[in-house]
Amino acid sequence: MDKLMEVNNLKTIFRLNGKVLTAIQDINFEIYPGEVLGVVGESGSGKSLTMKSIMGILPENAMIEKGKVLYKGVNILNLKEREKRKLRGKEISMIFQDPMTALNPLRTVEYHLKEVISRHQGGGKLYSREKAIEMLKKVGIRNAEERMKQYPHEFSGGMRQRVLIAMALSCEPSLLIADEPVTALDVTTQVQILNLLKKLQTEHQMATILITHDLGVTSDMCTRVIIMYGGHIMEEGTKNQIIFHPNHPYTRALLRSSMDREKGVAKRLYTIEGYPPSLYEHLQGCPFEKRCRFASEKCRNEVPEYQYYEDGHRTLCHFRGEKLDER
Amino acid sequence: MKDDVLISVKNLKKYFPVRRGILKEKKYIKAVDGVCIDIHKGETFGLVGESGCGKSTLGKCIIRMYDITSGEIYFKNKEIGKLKSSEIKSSRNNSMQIVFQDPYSALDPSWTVAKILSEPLIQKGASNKECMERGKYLLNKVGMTEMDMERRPYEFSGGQRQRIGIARALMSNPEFVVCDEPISALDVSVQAQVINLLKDLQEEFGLTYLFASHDLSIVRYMSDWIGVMYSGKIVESGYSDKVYKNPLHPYTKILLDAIPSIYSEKRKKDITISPENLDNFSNVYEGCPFAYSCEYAKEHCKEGKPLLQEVQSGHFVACFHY
Repeated sequence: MDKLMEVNNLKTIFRLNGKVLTAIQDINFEIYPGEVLGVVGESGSGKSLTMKSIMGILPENAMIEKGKVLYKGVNILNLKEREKRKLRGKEISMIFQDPMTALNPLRTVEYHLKEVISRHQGGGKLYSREKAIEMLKKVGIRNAEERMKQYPHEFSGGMRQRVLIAMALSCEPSLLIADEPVTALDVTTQVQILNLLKKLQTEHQMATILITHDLGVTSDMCTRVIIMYGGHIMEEGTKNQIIFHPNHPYTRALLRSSMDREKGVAKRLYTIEGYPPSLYEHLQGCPFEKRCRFASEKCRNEVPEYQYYEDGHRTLCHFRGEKLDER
Repeated sequence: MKDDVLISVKNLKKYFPVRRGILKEKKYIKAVDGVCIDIHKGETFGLVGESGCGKSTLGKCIIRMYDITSGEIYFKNKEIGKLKSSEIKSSRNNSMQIVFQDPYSALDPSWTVAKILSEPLIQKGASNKECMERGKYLLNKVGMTEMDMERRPYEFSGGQRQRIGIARALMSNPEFVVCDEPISALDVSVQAQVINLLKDLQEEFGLTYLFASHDLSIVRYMSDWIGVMYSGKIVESGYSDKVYKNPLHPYTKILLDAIPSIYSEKRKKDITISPENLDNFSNVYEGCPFAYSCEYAKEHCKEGKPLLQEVQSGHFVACFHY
């Protein structure tokens, strides 16, 4: 199958008070049509920034230092702003984490939807109105004609997230980037939104990048998973490889420390001591070295290289997974 | 009343007035509507429910951050529900504290850690030296160092701030601490640290917790007894293992099913709770508050209010089906 998008060697830096801080580096991954790629990491691990780099919506003090993003074979980082704008929304859509702030409080829901539709698809007022109603119905909003006239504050969190999904999908994008789409929602609403995303994703055969920090959500939704930490991809593999045969110490620790229904109740929870590294720390070696129980002298001084396993499973570690089992 | 009951809440109600429309007809949001709970000494009472169900309001009513509408709150057999705010201050400072959800907004950004930690003790009239000593002692207890006393909140990560928040709550040596979603704003790898810390401190100081969260698996891990809240009411309560392993109320079942599981293979069934039914005034209806979203609801569910009753020993549920 042809790759839909390929990210090569991406590195993004921040300029802050005359200092140059590296936020993400050495980011390589690809995504195929119709698959759900999970990007898992804690806050500050660089997962949102990676997506913003791809979409070309970085904050002003950030810039892409090197790398390529090939979308259907074209490097979209070199496109002019006008061409990028055509791509965003139509070919690549994004859903943001916080449904409370992503909508303009002074505009009706109808306005939001019609704007996206008329910008990318043209068509008359009538067409965009009909399309808007159709999309709202599709995401499970009842009385779409009436609710469309309402303002964002009249919608609950879950309903707002549905509106955002309707907006993102109204132009039938080939790639949807969902940045923590359910983190701000209650568990019961989470299930509804995730099921909706899954259904629409299968219907439209749309590739999806799902950013989350919840391994349960990942396991539920994704076919392939990338684990990020300190601006690096620490491990990549299929869902089953990551969940059942993790080979990176960080992935293993993350899985062990999370609570799960299927696991019994331990007397004490397993913890990863310490905190994620901040951008200001200048790291010579592996970003996880300080918190890793397998860390050695080598980890402190040398950036590790990828270890490869079967079916594209890889880890950024000095040690192979089998070796870790023995220790 | 049994001896080891530290806090006993009887038929607690907290209504927030809201005015709507030009006629300014007075309406109420019944945030807490007739809650009865007992919290035993040295135990953790876990409160589960979604946003807006009233769990934070209940916690804040118990430590009397809010005035209550009606009902009784007993703290060590003493009625505190009707005390005036000046009278509560002393009892709250001495024996009840709270850890807030969001460690980013709970600490004054311009204060040093030393000042943040001293504040509760200064209210009690302690000397500066005492404050400093206890502050250093507690910072060590929550896994930080004395060096951190002179730093300010922005220099710390979320997990460290929550540790400071916990240390502040323990400064006045309280017996009872309300933990209002203490880990939901933290990173996954840090959540387990804070949970373990709370458990260690409980053991060491003999603390009693009210632990509110929307995540049933964390609540189960922390608590001896669980109360499930929906629309201002406790709909199910019991020993945590009983509620977790054998949920009785349809709402608890849905809540439990909704937790995303890492190892489970089956896809989640869609949930029938529709937000349309859940507006702020939903509990003005007669009848069971959950009746409009419940797949088992019968006609009579919408007519009378079900009461919390013991269906097995140590397991209560408010549902007409039992």
